[in-house]
Amino acid sequence: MIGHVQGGWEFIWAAYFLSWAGIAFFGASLVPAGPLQMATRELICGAMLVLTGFVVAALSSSTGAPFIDRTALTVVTIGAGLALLGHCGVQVAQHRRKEK
Amino acid sequence: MRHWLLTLDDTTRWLLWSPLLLLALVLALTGLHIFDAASRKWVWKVLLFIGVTMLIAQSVLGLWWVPPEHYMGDVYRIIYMHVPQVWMALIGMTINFGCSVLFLFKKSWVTDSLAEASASVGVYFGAVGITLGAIWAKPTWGAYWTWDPRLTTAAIMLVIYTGYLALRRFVEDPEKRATWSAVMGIIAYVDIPVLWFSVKWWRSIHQVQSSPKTVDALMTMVLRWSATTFLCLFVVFLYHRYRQAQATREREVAAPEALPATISGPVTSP
Repeated sequence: MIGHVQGGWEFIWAAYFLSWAGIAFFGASLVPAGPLQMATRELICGAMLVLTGFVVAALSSSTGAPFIDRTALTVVTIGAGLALLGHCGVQVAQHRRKEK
Repeated sequence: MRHWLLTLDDTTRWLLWSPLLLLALVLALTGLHIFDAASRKWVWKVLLFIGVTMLIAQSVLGLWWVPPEHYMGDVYRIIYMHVPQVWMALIGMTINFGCSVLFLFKKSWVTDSLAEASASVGVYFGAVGITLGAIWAKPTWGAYWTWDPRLTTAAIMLVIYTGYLALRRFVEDPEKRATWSAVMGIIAYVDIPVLWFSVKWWRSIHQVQSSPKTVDALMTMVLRWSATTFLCLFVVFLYHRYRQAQATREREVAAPEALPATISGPVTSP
């Protein structure tokens, strides 16, 4: 170890939020559900990930983390959240189309 | 007086605990069959409740209760999420290996389904664990990823077991799928001991496994709490994934235990 690490709460929050979202989503995916229930789960997990992205962005700018680090963490978490939200939207649209 | 377990070296402790842990898991899974379907539902709900409650407590303990580490400061708190999830991945792969060997000795849909479930849950925990490791690596090593022996073998594990799950999707014949994936499960497991001992065998940027002898008692306690939390969630996930796999087998063949006596015989379709 060369030196002492200072701060780094954006990394800690990113790790914890990712774990919570992962457990919620993987756990929920194991319970049999219809497309709308799955979409609700994706909505919750996606929103959680997007929120993580914003928390990480806010924390990293306040702690003065390098630009590339906070961009990478923010883009990955918000991107994963948006992907889930997008998939949720597709699920709901498909379900509505079938109903019609 | 020191506990006799603390006097053993890490390798011996690992070799001692692994079979015991596996035995406990198998007993937990099979023991639940003594309950009827309605009671079993409650058992899993209670286990899930315990897991989630412990996870909330674990997060509070890991984020605020334990003191910061001397060199890494607060960032080391990721350990309470990263390490137990990687352990769960290794347990998943070990169960997969055990079931694969068992399947080749005695054909059964139970071991085949359990092998599929354990690989699936193991890949999930492995993927999250490795991602958290990368997040932790940035502030401590200065890079998200480096082709160090430990990280490389972890990446190989993830790729191999994702391939294992892909193989299960590609092969339609359940009998061939079960045999081929059992063989692949055994071959894939070669990576796991290499992954575990890589930090001792080669010069690695990844630290060697800590032991309770060198870690503060509070940190050890919270790490053990975290491990128990994830073990609880692992068992719940494994069981539900196993049930899904068994339901798929039931759709594919006439009965879950209807694998013919000779593997060369055709599987009877419903």
